[in-house]
Amino acid sequence: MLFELFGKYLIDNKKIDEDQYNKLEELYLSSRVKLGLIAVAERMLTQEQADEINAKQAIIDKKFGDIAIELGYLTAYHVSELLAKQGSSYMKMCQALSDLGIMNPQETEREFNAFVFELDGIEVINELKADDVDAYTSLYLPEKYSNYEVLMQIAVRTISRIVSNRIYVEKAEKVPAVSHKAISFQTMHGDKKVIFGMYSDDDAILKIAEGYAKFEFDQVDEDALDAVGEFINVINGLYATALSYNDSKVELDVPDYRLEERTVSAQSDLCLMPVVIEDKKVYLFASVN
Amino acid sequence: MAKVLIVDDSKTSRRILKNFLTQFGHEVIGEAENGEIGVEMYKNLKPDVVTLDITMPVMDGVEALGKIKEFDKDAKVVMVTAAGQRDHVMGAIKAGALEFVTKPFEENILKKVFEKICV
Repeated sequence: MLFELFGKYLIDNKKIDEDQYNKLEELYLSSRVKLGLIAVAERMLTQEQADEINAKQAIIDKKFGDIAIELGYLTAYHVSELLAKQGSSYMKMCQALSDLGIMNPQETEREFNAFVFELDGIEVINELKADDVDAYTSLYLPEKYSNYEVLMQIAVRTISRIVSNRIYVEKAEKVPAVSHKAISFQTMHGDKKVIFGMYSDDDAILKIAEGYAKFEFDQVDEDALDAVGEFINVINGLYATALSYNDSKVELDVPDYRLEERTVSAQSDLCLMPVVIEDKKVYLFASVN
Repeated sequence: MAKVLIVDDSKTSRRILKNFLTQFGHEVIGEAENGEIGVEMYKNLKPDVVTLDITMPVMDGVEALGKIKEFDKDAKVVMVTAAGQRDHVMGAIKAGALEFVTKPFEENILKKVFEKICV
């Protein structure tokens, strides 16, 4: 999610164009982040020190970290910290931007800080750098600490885990109801009254159906909506488990889906959150009372 | 190899389960979309194993379990559940279900459950 959202931010703020975004994505997906870049980004080394080590590495067959320790620039502890960050989404983004000559790590950090500031997410900047799906989801909800926050986090996380990890959220809004001809949803009753469901304007909902079923559907029909209903059941089951840790009990009702125009509403406004899955948009909606 | 009756209101879940069970070498001899139909089919088909989804319309899996056990106290029943239905699952185990599996189905777990109960 970090790549897609920060990438969109860079496009929207004219720091990169679409062509550069596509090249970045290719690099990002295949990149191996260099220790030197991480060390400079983390301010453990200056650029000059990193360049000196790189120059030595070109002539002696030793690892970057080992040379840095020999020169007294880093300790073994620093090197192990850097190694732990090599898989970091933020560092991969830094590496890709640097490799394309678009931005150095300091410039990337400035832009990322501005992106996080725009999201009002400074308090969770480390989580955002770590590509924490829950942190991003919360920031795109209409309000903080809402009743539906945990449910939406579970939903987005489950989509990321089971359907595709190439997803990102868009700004959610509160609506009095949702109306569509192919909605799948489920209610829960008990200590809380919950509605959770999804739909899409095109065949994007098939991403969910096929992600769950692991076989293809030709069109958005009742069979596909049934698969979506089962996926919703998985999400709501996980939510029911989360509630039970706080001694709150709910029962899952049978998932509801029909291929006809219908309107779903709740006691209070629904939270409606777009989620883009591999360039296709699905709308999640939820209400927790 | 076991003769299995699948009881689940979701056509998708029935298909996924049938695919896995057939792959493991079992034979799916019937499918029912709610507990009431499932109980009748159990009486007619007398499968070796029956899977019961918990949340179903008309008659849920827990009630169906009770009726199947009344008919056949040795019935081998596997409950199928989403997470968050722990109370129902515990109740079902106490009422005589042998095992449970959660959705989404995990091939290895399903295989081990059936290997265990088909001994």
